Amino acid sequence: MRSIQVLVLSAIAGVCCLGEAAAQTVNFRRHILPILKTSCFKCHQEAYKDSGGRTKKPKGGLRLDGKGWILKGGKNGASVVPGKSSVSVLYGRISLDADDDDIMPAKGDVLSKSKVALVERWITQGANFGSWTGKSGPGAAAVKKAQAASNLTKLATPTLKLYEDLAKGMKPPLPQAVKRATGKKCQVVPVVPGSALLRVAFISNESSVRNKDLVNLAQLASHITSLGLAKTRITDDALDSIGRMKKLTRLDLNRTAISDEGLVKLANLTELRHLNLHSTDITDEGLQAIAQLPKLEKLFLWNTKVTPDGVKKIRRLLPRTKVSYELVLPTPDPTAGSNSRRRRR
Amino acid sequence: MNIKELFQKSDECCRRDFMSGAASGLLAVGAMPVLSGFAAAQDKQKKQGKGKPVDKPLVLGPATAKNVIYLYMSGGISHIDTFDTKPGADNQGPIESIKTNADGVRISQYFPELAKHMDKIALINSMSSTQGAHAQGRYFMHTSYPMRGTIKHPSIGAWLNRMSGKTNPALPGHVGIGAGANTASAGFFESKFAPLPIGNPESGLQDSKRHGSVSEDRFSRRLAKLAEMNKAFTSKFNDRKVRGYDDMYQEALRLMKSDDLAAFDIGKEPKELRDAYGRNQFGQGCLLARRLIEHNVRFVEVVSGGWDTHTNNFDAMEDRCPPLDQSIATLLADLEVRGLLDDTMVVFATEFGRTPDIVNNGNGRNHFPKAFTCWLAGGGIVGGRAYGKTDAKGANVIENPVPVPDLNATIAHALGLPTEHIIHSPSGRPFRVAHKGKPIRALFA
Amino acid sequence: MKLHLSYLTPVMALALVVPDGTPTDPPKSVNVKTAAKRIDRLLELDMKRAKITPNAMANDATFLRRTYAGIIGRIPTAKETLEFLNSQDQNKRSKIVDSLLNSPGFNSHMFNFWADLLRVKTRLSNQVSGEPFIHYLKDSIGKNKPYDEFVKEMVTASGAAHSRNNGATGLLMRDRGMPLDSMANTVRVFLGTRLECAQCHDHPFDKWKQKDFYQMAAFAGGLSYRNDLAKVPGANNVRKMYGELRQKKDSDGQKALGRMMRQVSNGLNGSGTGLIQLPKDYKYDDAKPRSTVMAHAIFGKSPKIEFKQPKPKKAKKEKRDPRKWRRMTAKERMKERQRMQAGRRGGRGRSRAPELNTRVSYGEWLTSAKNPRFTKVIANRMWKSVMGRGLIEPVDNIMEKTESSNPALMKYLEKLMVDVDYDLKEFQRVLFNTNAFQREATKKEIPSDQKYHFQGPVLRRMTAEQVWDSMLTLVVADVDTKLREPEARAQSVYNDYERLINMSAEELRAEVNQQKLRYSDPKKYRAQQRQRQTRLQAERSRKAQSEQRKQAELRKRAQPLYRALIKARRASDVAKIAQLKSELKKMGIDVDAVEKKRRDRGSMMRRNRGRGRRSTQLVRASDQQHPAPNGHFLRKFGQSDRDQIQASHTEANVPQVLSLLNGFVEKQVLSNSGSALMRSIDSVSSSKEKVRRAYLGILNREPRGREQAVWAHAIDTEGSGVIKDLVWILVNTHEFRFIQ
Repeated sequence: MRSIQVLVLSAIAGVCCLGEAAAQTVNFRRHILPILKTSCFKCHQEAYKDSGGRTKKPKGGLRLDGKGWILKGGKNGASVVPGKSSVSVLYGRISLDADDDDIMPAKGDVLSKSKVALVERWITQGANFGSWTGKSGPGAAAVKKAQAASNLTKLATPTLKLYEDLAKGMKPPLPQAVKRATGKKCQVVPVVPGSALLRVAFISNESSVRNKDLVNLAQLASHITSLGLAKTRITDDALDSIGRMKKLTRLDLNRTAISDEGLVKLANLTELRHLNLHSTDITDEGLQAIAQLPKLEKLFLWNTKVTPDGVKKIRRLLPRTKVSYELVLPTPDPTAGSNSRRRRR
Repeated sequence: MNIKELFQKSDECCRRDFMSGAASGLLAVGAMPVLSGFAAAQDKQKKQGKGKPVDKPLVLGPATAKNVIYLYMSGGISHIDTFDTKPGADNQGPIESIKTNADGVRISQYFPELAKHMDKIALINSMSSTQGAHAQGRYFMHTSYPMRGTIKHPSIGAWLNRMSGKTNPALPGHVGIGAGANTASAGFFESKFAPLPIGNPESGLQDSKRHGSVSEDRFSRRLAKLAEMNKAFTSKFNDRKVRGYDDMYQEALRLMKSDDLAAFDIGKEPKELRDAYGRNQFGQGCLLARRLIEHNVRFVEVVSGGWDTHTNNFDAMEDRCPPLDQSIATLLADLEVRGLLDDTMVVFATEFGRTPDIVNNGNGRNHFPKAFTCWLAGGGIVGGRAYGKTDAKGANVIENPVPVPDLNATIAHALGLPTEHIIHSPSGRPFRVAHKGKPIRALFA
Repeated sequence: MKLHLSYLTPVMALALVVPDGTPTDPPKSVNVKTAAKRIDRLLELDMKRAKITPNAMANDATFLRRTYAGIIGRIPTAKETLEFLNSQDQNKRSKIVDSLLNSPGFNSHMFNFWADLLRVKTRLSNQVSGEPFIHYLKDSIGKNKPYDEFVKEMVTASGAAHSRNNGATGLLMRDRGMPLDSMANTVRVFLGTRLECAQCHDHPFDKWKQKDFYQMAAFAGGLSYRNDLAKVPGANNVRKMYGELRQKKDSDGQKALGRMMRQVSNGLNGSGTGLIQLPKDYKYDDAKPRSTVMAHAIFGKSPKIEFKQPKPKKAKKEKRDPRKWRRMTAKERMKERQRMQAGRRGGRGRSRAPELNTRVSYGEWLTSAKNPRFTKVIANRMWKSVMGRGLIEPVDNIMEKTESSNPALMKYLEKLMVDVDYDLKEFQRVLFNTNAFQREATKKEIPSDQKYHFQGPVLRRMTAEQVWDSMLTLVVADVDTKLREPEARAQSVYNDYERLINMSAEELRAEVNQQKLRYSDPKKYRAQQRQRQTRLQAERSRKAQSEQRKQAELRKRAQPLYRALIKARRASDVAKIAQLKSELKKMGIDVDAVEKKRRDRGSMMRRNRGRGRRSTQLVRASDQQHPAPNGHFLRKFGQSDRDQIQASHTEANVPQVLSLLNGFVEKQVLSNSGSALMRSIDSVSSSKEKVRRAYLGILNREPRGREQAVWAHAIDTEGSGVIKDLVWILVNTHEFRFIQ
């Protein structure tokens, strides 16, 4: 009786273990290596000579028979990126649908769902190989390069570098300050993920935004690098506090009621790169105030009271700035689009 | 663990990813959902627990563009007669090429206005597709997957909205102007990611105001009663289509209340500007697209049709190219002067090109997917050049081939969306925004 | 279990099909009830195997709405609903099926089905009108033409596209100039097989090779889309004109004549040579590029074609004269080279292959009962149309390994289709009589890649056409009586064609000389056209004015009679009314018709006239423009743009919702005092009855539980405006747009 009880209990325990495999750590040697051996090594191993004397190279330039090889991956990228199954090509290929052309293994039976799940868990848990190294692999440098390339890739644009430099040494903004600034109207987000610099915008409710709605931004003044106030109801008074945002690189004031007096207040924004003033009432006078901004790259002056002479002047004062002033429209072709042969479109 | 749980897990890891990002799990450039909306989404998640996939904006990389205007030439526009001219070749036909304001780039004589904007445009002359039929080609270009009978894939606009949410909560995130029902779709995503169809840009969004005889109060009371009556039906039938209607009603009501509704009314634009765009559906559609972008609609597609010139190719080019040239040139100038071009990626795409050889009684060209041209402008693209090359005839790609998914990957990348990220369909199959496409880095440098 | 066929005598058939003795279709050898039972039995077996219980039987109201929508494409009116619900007849369900199948609404609904599948357009292309095709389709449906005959006619049609009653050419004219695509589309629609991929390379997923594709296309080898005027009787003058102009080397004249004869020059010409050339980039090694392949069907028994070898013409052997050659210019040399080559080949130009009637052989193969997919596909399509989901999904992508979800049932349906001689109406009759159709709709959504065992019909949103037609039912009384005749619009096309063909030589010459200007002196031409326009305009306005004058006169004369009529109406003097009406009729005024017209149009017409907007044409979808214009209600709700096969959808979107909230419903149903529904509600005085009418008319059921009481109370306390609220709400519910 007792032995049966023990048997039953251990069976139940066994079943529970299987059921709770979800919580257990996946062991590479016990769970993953057998899968690799059965389904992967045949095509993805070191080059060898087969029975007919022909050299069989690893398919797709990918070897999976060593820890380093797995981490280096093949032409599609690193096979395994520890912790990130979504960018691990190995997991991506085995989890495809059975009738997908790219599914792996390409020959023989596809892996069962439980096996695929195991691999995913192993990767998510950190892709721990334990003591296994397999065949000696490529150098550490190659592995590092492959792994780095698999990270959520950054676009190495000049703007990115700019934000990096600007944010050097800055502490992230206080969450409470951000919370207070964000009301129903405002959106405050980091300008790029992980940055201490912020971008602020008003979307879909611009016509109700007034000077008072910017009050809460004052506490974040040193963090704001991009501020979008297009179509809002702010006036020159709001530009007092804006003029103190030292790290401001982009400012959109188009279609607002600002005037030349307001522009004067922006004279200290030395980091300003992009200034959009289209459809405002500024004149040549106001331009003088911003003519000293050293780093201005883009200036938009269309549909303002600025004269062509004023534009010429500012272009001379700011030779490196691209000034957009004229909307050059193509002369409408009277016959275009009215061809009797074509009806619609 | 079954596929469904796997499904949640894959979203799980992404949730962790962006949580570990900036303070308070905020989202990056390229997606600006209203924070309160995001918080609501988080609460919804908690309440729903497992089982229902929640649409949350995901982590993104740094983006160079916020919005996309997708100009689609339906039918397969000839590349040799437009942007990949082969002056002097036998098969060029009667169309001459002209210089542009970009060194070394020549385009067809029918695009004199665009020639003045070539410094903004990066031509991709080495596009290559495997699909030579219209339906399949269109599908492939929009979804990056070959058309299958078993599942419908979402198009690029739906992907963008699904992965990073709407910028403007009141307006739809995906609009299609002049697009037929099967050009772009939400695929297996919920139908709210499907494009809002605008048939005629001049009439804009019809019926968007309450009928004159109904007061606001009465309208709200009606809506409340309607919701009550619908409850029984929704609880009886567990169907995605029924839920789709609930979503659409919400979306429509939000739209009705928003000030941004004015975005759909192109009548507000000055006459000269409307003339400059061209008084035809495509031209006015481009104007509407610009207005929508100004109001932070993420993805607007404008379709121009009739490019399937099996016969009378040269006559057709002569008729159709100049208005196209005018509309697009005006669009680029307009975006630029308003400071929108930096944030907006303008895409010029088509399903395939046309045969270099002139066939069909010497005046037509047939389908040609092997090599054709698309181009990109704005949104971080460095213009003024032609990427990729075809041979002297225009029949083979000899440098930097760009398979169709790569174009979509480039668009996604510019918007800061990870191209490696997998989203599972309701039946558990994994898909990515541009399938296996890789973004073309060279275009951003 | 074998089906025991019972052969009916004609009398029994009459009794079964239509109770009131109207002439019916000839007796079929299939007993509807037995066939329906058999289908149910096969489903039951399948469900038992899958351990699924069938849904309960639907109540009368649910059944009625589903049946109306499924057979005649619209919801029933309140009156029709009440009639059915109140009937105590045991057989009312099968009787209503029969009567609906015999009504004009069925034709309209079937037309929409075919229009979506065959991509019907009002204008097939720049030069080809789609009206003849529409006429042909409506006519064939109205006559209940057997399906195999129908398909064969379309596939083997030939002759001028616009000539009278030759609309069958429409199927192939739809893809004019693209014979390869045309074949691929035909195979997709009728054989449920997607061959398109194989046009450029071996099919990636199925077993078809590129060569197979071309061999299929070869059946229509040599098909020309230019109408051969030599074959058109009476077109002599036109031909002679062409000859004359060619002789005179009058190129502008030729262009002008060509343009004038645009309508006449399109058609299908050629019975099929059975040969086709492979493309020049053919890359497989089973044939050489540009080589000729012979027609061969991809499955089933390929038709035998006797290929005659053309008699070899005597080849002329010529040698080049070196002295002459040296003195020639490059152009002359090229011409000389061509001439000599042609001489060697045995004649000028390409040798034409003989016409072997292969198109007819193709049509026979396609529509044969022995063709493994022809019957299967139509049976599956009909099943899907009735039940909401096919036994094989998707319906048009059958591959070698495709299996239906119920092979025994699929086989039986194929047999049934053959047994009813491809009578689609009869086939559907059987399906509508099954228990499977009469069960409640399945509550849970079954994903598209899962097997469905048909425990009940599928929940569906109405198609765009069904929604529109149902809306019309609320607005227009007796909407089915407004359906136009099949040939209504095609007449003008036929007339134009005949006019052009029969022009006399002088007329032609005059017209050509005038049109020539378009090419030789465009400015003058445009000026002339403008003059012509103004002249026509002036004439039209003169005519209109004289007509108006006449009407005014008539009205003046009729005034005393009108006054008397009003008096008589007030006094309810029936006899006097009738007398006055007949007198007015003698004068040429039909009072009843005028008043009816005014009522049906409602106030919409008057309001829009001043604003220059065209009123929404309140006709059923089958009579609208195809496809409806961009932005039309039908397009918003998912009608296909008719550029692709079955591109219609039933997904939700914002424009639809806006139309339901603020658009059509408000303008046409609620604010329109002439709308059928509002009039019906206004005609009763009790609030309870008003509520009842609303529910019966819109949701086609009685109000449930407290619904009636609550709404009636609201009407009593808050006034009649509440009725509009009620109607608005009911039309906006899910229950309205989804068919349970």
